[in-house]
Amino acid sequence: MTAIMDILMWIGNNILGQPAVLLGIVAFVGLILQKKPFSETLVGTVKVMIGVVMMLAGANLFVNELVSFQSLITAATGVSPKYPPNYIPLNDLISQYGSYAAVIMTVAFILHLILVRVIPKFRHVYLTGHLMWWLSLVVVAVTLTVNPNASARQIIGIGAVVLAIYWTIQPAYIHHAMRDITGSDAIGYAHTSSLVALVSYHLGKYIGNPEESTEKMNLPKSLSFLKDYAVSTAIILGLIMVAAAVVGYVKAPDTISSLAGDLNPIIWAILRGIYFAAAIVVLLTGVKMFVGEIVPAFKGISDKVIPGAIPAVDAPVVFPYAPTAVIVGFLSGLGVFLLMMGLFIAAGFAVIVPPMIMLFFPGGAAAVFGNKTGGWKGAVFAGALNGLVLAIGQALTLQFLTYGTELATLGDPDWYALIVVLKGLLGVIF
Amino acid sequence: MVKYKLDRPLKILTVCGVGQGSSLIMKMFVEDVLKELQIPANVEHTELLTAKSSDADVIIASILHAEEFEGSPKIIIGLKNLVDKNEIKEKIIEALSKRGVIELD
Repeated sequence: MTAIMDILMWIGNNILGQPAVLLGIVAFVGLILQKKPFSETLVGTVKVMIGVVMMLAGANLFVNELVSFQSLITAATGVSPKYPPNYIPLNDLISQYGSYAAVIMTVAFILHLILVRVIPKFRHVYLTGHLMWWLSLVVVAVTLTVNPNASARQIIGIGAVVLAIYWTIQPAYIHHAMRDITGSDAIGYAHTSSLVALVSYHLGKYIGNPEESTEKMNLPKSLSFLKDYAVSTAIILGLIMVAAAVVGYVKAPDTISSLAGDLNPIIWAILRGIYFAAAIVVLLTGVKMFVGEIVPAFKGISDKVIPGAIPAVDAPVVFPYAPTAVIVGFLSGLGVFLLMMGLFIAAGFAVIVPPMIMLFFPGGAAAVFGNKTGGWKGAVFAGALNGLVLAIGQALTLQFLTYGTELATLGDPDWYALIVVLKGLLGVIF
Repeated sequence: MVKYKLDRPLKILTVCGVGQGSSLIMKMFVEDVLKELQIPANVEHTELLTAKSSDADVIIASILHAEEFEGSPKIIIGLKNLVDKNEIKEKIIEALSKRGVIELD
């Protein structure tokens, strides 16, 4: 008996406990199943493992930069972000429980394929790989938040079932709107902005007129830098931090000086904006590297098991149908988010950080849906709704998600809905 | 069928805003099309930030991002429907034959 226990412990420590090893194995099996030549299989597997380690390094950087941002805002305003007591930061969640998320992602995708294969009503296969990863991590975080003693079997079972259902129904419930936008049944929408996009699509007609489309507007070309998430993150966060550094320096020079160390506080604040953007680039490049090897395997399996299934893909698939709406939705969302940030600080309620990627992609995509039925007013509304949901979602989630708390600042609208629903359900079960 | 003129595989980048989702999806569809056309190529996916400094021969992006590459010596292809193999095929054939990378039989 002890020998078997020893073997299980060894597997637990060396394979299941190491996200780089586990995701490497998932990719390796996927590449073998695709009958790739040995050299490609080796390169792909190693790339995945490097990607996982980069993601961990990026998460580390990101957590540190987030703390800098929040400390500076606290120094300037006296309002502090209310992290739950004894919370587990994102980098620790990934290194300790990342392998659970990897198993959930794989099992949930298989369950999802079974659901689509068995229930004729569902025809979409969810292929947005990076969101499959993040959502898997989110369900692990919520399950552990509700019950820190949940067993591996419980965490993986709950996560896999919940996500298989979500990936199956989400592209289906928004497909009538997708058909209206793209003019065909060939593309599905697989993105965690679906709720805001759907609401915007259905409320658009009460808000505006589809004849007054955003695509008849001319936005200045100079706004096109906004499409580059790293640049817009560095600029917007840098500006906020410079403003906070100035205000903070007037109110409490000692606090600001101790944050900035040897540097001039303004230069320090500008650099923090750049570091924040760089942290996100490293984090996402890591995710990109391992997702890039795993998704083709998933698609390969799906092509074999469910020929003729509709690929449901990432939000930008709708951008070409109303490119101006995307910028409009991003700007209105950013405006509302910054307004809410100010209100939350004034009320002493929360310190939130503008998530540029989540304002751009969900906001831009929702605006394409809103523009379809409500023209530019629909697009403005869609972006604003996204900004509102992101602000409230981040402020609340940061205060109660005990595991991977910083996930609150990386969430899309559906994440928050999923977190709230799952937390409620699990509260009853556990 | 088309005749490929270069003595090395073509280097292609599919590009989207963050280089996570839609560029990867485009990569898979582009690879399928190239296989069908029998054009030897290495396809990678990436984001706007690094795409501009890459040494790829061809950039494939959504029409939203294709305009960012105006003035680039690379072959730029802008897609309206990111997963429509017919559109991808037509635009690849058009762009590559214009630059003499392939010859139509």
